[in-house]
Amino acid sequence: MTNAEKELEHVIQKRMGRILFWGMMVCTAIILTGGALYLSEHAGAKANFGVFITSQNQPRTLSAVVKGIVSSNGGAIIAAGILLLVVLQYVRVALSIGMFVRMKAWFFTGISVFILGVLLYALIV
Amino acid sequence: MLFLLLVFLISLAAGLLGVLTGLGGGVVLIPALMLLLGVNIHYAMGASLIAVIVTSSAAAPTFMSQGLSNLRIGLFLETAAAAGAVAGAILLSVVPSQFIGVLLGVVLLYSAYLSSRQKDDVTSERPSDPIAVRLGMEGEYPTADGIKVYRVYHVLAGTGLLGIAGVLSGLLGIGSGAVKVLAMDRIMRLPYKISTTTSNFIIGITAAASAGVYFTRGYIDPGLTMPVVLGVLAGATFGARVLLRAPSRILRLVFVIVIAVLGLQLIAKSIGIY
Repeated sequence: MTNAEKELEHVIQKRMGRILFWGMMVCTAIILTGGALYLSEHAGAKANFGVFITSQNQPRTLSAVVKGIVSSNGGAIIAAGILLLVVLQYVRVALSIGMFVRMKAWFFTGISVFILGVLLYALIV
Repeated sequence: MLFLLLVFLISLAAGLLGVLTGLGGGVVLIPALMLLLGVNIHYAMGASLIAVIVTSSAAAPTFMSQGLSNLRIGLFLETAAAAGAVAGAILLSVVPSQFIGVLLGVVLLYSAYLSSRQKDDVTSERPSDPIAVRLGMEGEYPTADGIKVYRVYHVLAGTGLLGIAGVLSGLLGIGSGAVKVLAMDRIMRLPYKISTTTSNFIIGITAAASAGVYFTRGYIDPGLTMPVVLGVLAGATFGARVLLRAPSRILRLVFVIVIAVLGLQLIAKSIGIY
């Protein structure tokens, strides 16, 4: 790598870091909002995570999360924040693709595209 | 409320430990939630997987602005880790949870062993692996005597190990930071700080690969995950800022003992003698 390329990589990495930081802040704000609602809904309830119950009233699909948000259910809003955190990792790989394209590093562009493909495949298994 | 506060405090400690040791936090979080608070292993794994994503995302901006994470090496290795994570998450439906408990205990003991060893960076005069040279993987890092170039060895062996790390990550809900650091630090011979920060960059992506499966199986409970996310975020953010001053030997020794005790307890509990 030439010095100009190194400089470019460093600048882009800094920018990616900033995007990740603000993404984290947005997710945290959503989870805090949902958390406050969740606590008011479950005030006085005893925590019970000792037994794994799959039928528990807990959103497990995207449509359940969306429905829950519409009825401002605290748990669903927390789940939305968590899912956004996962999506942020996809963004991280997508930003890497952008970086390698700008640097004309085609091998690493291909590698990043492959990883994004694996992540997307994981959604349908 | 008290329960959630305790979850928050445990997660804070796990996030701090995760960043300082490069282990990712999840490997400590799962046994702590199970053994101290009686949380079921599946919920603990779900919360931990999200904690791994948080640790990785919270510390990444700090490391990236310092140019410490080597993205080329990280993403090259992540191809194997992401594929392994998907395989691990699929395996979840056939593996009994006692086995998962014992496996996690073994990973903990191994992490303790790894953390107890001295982390001297050995500089070698041998040229890098030709693959690493061809792909421009070598980099620079700041040391006490100024900026130094580091070499990269055994790229393919390291990548193979990352595949195993990926399977463990999907199967256990952890970041497998210990195995990732082992691959980069011991096999590829990267400087320790480059290994931990590069590992930190990719653990979030690996965890995202199995997050979908965990979510649809109901492992990720919002009520439990909420205080975990907030605690780990606080711990990891703080941890990333103090990483440049590496933890003292006494602190490291405390980490090792805590991790080893948790590992032994978890194995005992999983095979039913505790």
